Amino acid sequence: MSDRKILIGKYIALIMFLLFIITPFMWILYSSFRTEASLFSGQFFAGGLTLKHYSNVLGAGQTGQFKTYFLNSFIIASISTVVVVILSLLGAYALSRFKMKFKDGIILSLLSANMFPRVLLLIPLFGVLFDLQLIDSYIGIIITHIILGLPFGLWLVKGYFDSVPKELDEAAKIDGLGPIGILFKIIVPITAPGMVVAGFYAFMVSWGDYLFSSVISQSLSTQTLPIGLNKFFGSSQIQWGSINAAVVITIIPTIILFSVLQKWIVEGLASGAVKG
Amino acid sequence: MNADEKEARLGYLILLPVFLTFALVIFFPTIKALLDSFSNLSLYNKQNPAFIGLKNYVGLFTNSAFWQYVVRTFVLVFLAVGLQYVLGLALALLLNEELPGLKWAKSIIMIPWVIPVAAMVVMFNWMSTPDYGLFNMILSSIGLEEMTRYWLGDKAFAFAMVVLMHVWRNMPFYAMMLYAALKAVPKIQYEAANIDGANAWQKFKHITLPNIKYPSMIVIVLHVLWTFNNFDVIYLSTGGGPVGKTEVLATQVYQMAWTNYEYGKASALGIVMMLAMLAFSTIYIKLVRSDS
Repeated sequence: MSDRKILIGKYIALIMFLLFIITPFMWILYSSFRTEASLFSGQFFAGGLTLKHYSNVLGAGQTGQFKTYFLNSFIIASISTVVVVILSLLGAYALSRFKMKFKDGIILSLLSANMFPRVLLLIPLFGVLFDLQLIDSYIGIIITHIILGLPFGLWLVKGYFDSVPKELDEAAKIDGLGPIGILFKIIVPITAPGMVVAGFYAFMVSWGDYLFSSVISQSLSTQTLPIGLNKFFGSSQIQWGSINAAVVITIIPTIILFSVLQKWIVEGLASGAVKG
Repeated sequence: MNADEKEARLGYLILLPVFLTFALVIFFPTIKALLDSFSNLSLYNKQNPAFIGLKNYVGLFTNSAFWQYVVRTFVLVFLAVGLQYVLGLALALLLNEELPGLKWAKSIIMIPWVIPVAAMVVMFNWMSTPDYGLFNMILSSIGLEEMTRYWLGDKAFAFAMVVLMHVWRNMPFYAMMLYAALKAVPKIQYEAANIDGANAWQKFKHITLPNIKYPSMIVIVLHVLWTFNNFDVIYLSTGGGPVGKTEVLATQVYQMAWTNYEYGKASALGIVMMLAMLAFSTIYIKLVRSDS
């Protein structure tokens, strides 16, 4: 086989991969703009395009609850993100810079957090949140979402902290900075990319969670987008046009965040997985 | 109090919020679930559940459906992780070629990984619909009308669709991790091999594979845990159906707890799942720690 043929083969293989990844997105994006007649024609290109599905979803019609889902998701994911970033920052600082007993135990539980089936943790957590009267509240859902983002975030930020030489701390100490001053003036600026990645991850997992929200949230006032999508879908008359538009709106925020932050995210994930 | 003790004290203070969070959301629930698994706790006897020893566990192990779910869960993990790794590695190698004109590919492949599972499921459901789904339209257009069906509701294909969704969502993650690892392989090793006249396969086997062994293990073990414990891909797409053909352990725990409200039984099954994953978790921890 000539080099040229091998090269063409590589192009074809990569394009196949890209098609596999992109097609579902393209198809739902296209479908979300097609008229009903066009959607159900069974043809690839038939009938016209319309914005009707988006105005349905964003308007006050049958699917008008969508705005509430979106707002709930946004509030819950944003607060979860802030909490996870703050906890990761504090925890990573302590684990990376202080001599302590139990340090090993804490690092061990961080690493084993993936082992605990969330479907299991949810059962007793429901009882706890019930006793605290946090069922069907933002706080109740946010507490559960912290499980999703914190172990990875803390581990990642700790990695960034570890890569900051301790000599920097010493130098700052000589300049008269206390531990808190060192944290905010020296370490935070250097580890900012790590915190961005931890924050993105926390936002993404909270935005995408169905399991915890489906049990903790019990009314429209706390229901998030994944719950809403599943509810649209469960209704007897599936309005495909509106659902497709709702999916597009649901996936846009994390895709935009990812595009903006992607250089850092890929680097951060790679350092988490490669360097350990 | 000396300076060291003072410093340690500050460390504990800073760590306290993290520790409390872990205690509230992981340690306490696990212990409580373990205790509940020895009781007949349900929605209807929340105040006074009775201790019933190992009855929940015996009930599980003597139920043939349980073993079916065990087997299906492991088959799913094996197929999904196997395909994700092989395809992810192939994609990573292709990206590493830095083909002119396709360098932008790197920036889009992670997108399936960042969207909610609930959204992915609707996307695949819409493509699977009987008369106007993309899959069936393509089949019809190439003259295979007799193949058309509702793919997610088909007894023979629903499980394959579940595997497909797992692969679509996570394969790009493997690709990015492995691509990052490939980038870190010292070029000089390949140059030396070229001088020795090694062919492409020899270079792959003796240079590439050993160099990406560690990240490969990490990404595989992580996804074994993730796929084993995953609940929403199946629950939202097939609900375990048709006729239980895609039911796995995680969906069973959810159903026992939130459809039947048998918290004791559900906890027992969840504890069994956790113990099954203990081994993998240990491997993962050993790997990570041996490196640092």
